[in-house]
Amino acid sequence: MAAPPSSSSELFDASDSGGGNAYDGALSRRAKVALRFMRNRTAVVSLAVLVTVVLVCFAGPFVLGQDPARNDWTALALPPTLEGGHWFGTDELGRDLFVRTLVGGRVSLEVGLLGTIAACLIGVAYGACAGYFGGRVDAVMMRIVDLMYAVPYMLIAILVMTFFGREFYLVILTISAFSWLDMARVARGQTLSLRTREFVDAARAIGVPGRAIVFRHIVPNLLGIAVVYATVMAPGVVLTESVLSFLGLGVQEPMTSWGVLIEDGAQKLEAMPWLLLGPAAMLCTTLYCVGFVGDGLRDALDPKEP
Amino acid sequence: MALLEVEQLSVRFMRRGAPPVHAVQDVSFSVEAGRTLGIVGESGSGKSQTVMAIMGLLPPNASVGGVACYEGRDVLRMDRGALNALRGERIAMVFQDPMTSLNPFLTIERQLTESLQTHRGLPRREARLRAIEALERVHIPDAARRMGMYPHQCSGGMRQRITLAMALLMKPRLLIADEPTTALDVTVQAQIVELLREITRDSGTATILITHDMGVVAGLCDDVAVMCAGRIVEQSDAVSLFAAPAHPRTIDLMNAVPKLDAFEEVDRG
Repeated sequence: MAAPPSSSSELFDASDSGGGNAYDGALSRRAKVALRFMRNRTAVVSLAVLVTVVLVCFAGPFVLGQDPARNDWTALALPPTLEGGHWFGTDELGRDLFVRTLVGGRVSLEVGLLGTIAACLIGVAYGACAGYFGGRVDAVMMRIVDLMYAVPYMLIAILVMTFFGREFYLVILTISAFSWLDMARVARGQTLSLRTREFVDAARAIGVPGRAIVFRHIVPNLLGIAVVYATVMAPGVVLTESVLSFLGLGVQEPMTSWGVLIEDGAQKLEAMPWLLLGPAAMLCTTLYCVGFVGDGLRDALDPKEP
Repeated sequence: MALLEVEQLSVRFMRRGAPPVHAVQDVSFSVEAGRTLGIVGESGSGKSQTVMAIMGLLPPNASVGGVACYEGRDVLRMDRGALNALRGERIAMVFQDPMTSLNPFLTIERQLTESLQTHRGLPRREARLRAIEALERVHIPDAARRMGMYPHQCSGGMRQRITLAMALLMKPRLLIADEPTTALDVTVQAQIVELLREITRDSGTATILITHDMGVVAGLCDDVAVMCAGRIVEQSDAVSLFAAPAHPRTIDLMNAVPKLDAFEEVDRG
């Protein structure tokens, strides 16, 4: 924040007190965000780890050339070993857990990513509109959200799967259809306070139509909170998939996901703790990194950050 | 005919389970092109709500009565599209607090070019040039560099200049300034008052200036309307008002301006 100038001549020198350098104006907004993000070492490292996890999950099984469903009858329920080639161990059917974790990661990453993105897009737009237009529009829009909260998503999932078959994209669709509700509420609440700020009145006073105000003035101000909230809800989305899978609605054997593997591992924790160890470590690492990246992104998106 | 003619304007705020609040009652005034009308009053006297009603910026629970004719068209009964075409293009507004009237997430350039793109659909390059021109007009040095900055990188006085540039960008015929100097410190206030005077003199813009500061009124206004409890209690040209204030409220407001005569003049050496 620029300090109040003590004399009129200082007024014109206050430009750099925000911490920006003299070439600030030459960079595009996107470049500035990228630059600020790059300065945050934790976030950059986390992003690198995330990218590695994604690459390994999607390319790893091909490189290893192993079928996640292949049974190694010589190595049933084997604890993790380096020399045996089963780095995460095997389950009671002799399937290599490392490969299964990687393959399962594809499902979980897809669900987590798409579910969260859908939540951000729908939730932020919906909440911002409800909050900005207010009155009856707001009342109707938020009652719809309340209504959807009241509908058990499990029931909808079951109905969808029964009518349209057990398709993987339907799992993502169902999860996305419910994951945006919380985000909409958060965005609406934030919009209610933004709406009373003078810059919104100023935009209205220069004749900017409502829709443009929502998307040009309100939404950018919501990005920071949306990113943080998205990192908070990503674990929930991944776990929802595992619940659906557990009930036989999500992915089916021999396909798997982190949620399914963890569910399975948790049940056999005392006999075979390594069943839980590998997948849980991967999930935790991913979620940690998502959190740090989200933090870094929030800071980078805030123009007030130096 | 005057540029803006307001007659019997009243604003009521409806409340659930309580009688409505009469914020503005039977207010009438007119503004001619090239003249500056000062609306003065203490806080809560309804001066801001009067112009908010004209700009169509009142919250939904407000009900507006009376007529406000801009070039013969009643702005109070205009549909949203027509009003949006008028706002910014013909009538512009400057807000009280430059700290909050600029969007913290948009660069100065984006905020300035918004009205050009909304109203004229100008291509970006041209809008940018026009915006730089507008910044130079309000005496912002190094305007081109300033365009890429965010509001928090500018001081309060600088931001108020920017909002002023925003308002003047479309060369409006009516400028409404809602306490444009209240949130600024005195030295900057003087600069903004000087700037406003220069702009109204050069462009022939009609101005409505809302303030509680009689000093600002004395510096800028041709005509004055004094408001109290939602009504105009005294209305005349500035010279005769200062010569012979009639209403006790007017006198109160005049006496409220701190005077330096009480001290001996300090020689700056």
